[in-house]
Amino acid sequence: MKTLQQHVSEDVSTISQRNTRQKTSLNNLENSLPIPVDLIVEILSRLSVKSIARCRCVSKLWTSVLRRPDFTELFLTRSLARPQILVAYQTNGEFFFSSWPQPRSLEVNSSPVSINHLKRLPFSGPCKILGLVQGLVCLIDRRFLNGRTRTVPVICNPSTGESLSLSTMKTRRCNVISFFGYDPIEKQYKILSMSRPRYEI
Amino acid sequence: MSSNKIVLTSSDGESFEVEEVVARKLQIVGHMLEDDCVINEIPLQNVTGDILSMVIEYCKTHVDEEESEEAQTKLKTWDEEFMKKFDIKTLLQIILAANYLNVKGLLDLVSQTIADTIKDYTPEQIREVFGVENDYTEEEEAEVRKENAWAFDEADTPKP
Repeated sequence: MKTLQQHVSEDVSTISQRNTRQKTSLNNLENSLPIPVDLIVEILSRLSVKSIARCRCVSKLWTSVLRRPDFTELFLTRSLARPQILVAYQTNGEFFFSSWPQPRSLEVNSSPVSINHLKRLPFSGPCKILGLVQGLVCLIDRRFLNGRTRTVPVICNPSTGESLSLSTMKTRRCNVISFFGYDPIEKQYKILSMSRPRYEI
Repeated sequence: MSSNKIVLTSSDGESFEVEEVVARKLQIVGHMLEDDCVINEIPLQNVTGDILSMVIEYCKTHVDEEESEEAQTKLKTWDEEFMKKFDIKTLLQIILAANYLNVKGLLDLVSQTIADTIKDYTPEQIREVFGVENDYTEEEEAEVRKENAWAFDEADTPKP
C-alpha cells in the first residue's frame, strides 16, 4: 500500500480544512465507486505499450477493452502527438530497434535524450526494411524455400516483439516489389506486392 | 453578467457560491444556464463537497485561459502542483467528478496524472486501486502472464 500512497503530499491540508478531513475519509472508501469503461479507456490509452501489456493481466474485461478497435485508434492518436524516431540495425542475425522522442524543432538540441531499447528480432537471412507505419515495421525476408529464393513479408512490432510472417506471393517471376501502408477507411494495414520480369525496367 | 453568483450544492449538502463564469466551466451547469431560466442554486447529486471544492479550485484558476505562452506555462506548472496534492484514490474520485460535471480540461489532466501514477503498477495493484475483480482462472492468468511476460521484465534493455 506504501507505493499507492506516494502522491499524497503533506500539504494537502493547505487546500482547506475540509480537504484534510476528506483525505482520511477517502482512504476508508474501499473501491466503492466503479470506474466506467469510457474513463478506463481514457486513462489506459495514455499508457505505454509495456504498461498496457501488464494491464491485460488485470482481468478479462480489461483485456476485452484493450483489444477494442476504438481503443487502438485512441492510443495511436495519442502516440502521434508525441512522435518518436525509430532506428533499426541488423547485426549477428538479429534486428535491433531503438527509439527516442523526436525533437520539437530542427535546431541542434544539446539536451540529452533517453534512448528506449526495444525488442530484438532474430532474422537468419539478409532482409531489408520495406516500410514503417504507426510503429509497425514491415521487413522483407528472403528465404530459400523449395529450391528457390522467396520473398516473405514479415510485419513486426518492435515495441512488443511480436511478428507475423505473411504468405509468399505465388509467381514464377523472381522480381517482386512490395509496398506497406495503412488504409484509414477500412482501418487495415495492407501490403501490396507486384511481380515483374527480371529484365524489365 | 460575470458578477452573477451561482450556488452549487453537493450531494452531501455542502454549498459553494461561485461566479457564473466559474460555474460555466462545469459544462453540466453551462447547459442548465443556457435554458435562460433564472437559476441561483444548482444541486449536483453525484459529487461530494470535498471533491466539488477541488473541481471549483481548478475552474477558478482556469477561468481566464490566456493564449500567451507565459500564461500557458504558468497554468501548466499550477496544474502539476495541484495534482501532486492527491493520492490515487482521490484522483479516481476527481476523474468521476470531472466526467459527471463535464470539465474537459480537468478530465484530460487527471487522466494523464492517473496514467503516470499507475504506469509501473503490477496487475495486483491495479486491481486493488480500481476495484477490478480478477475473472481469470488460475490457468488463464498463467497463460496471459506468459504471453505478456516481456512487459514484466525490468532488465529488458537489449544492447547490440
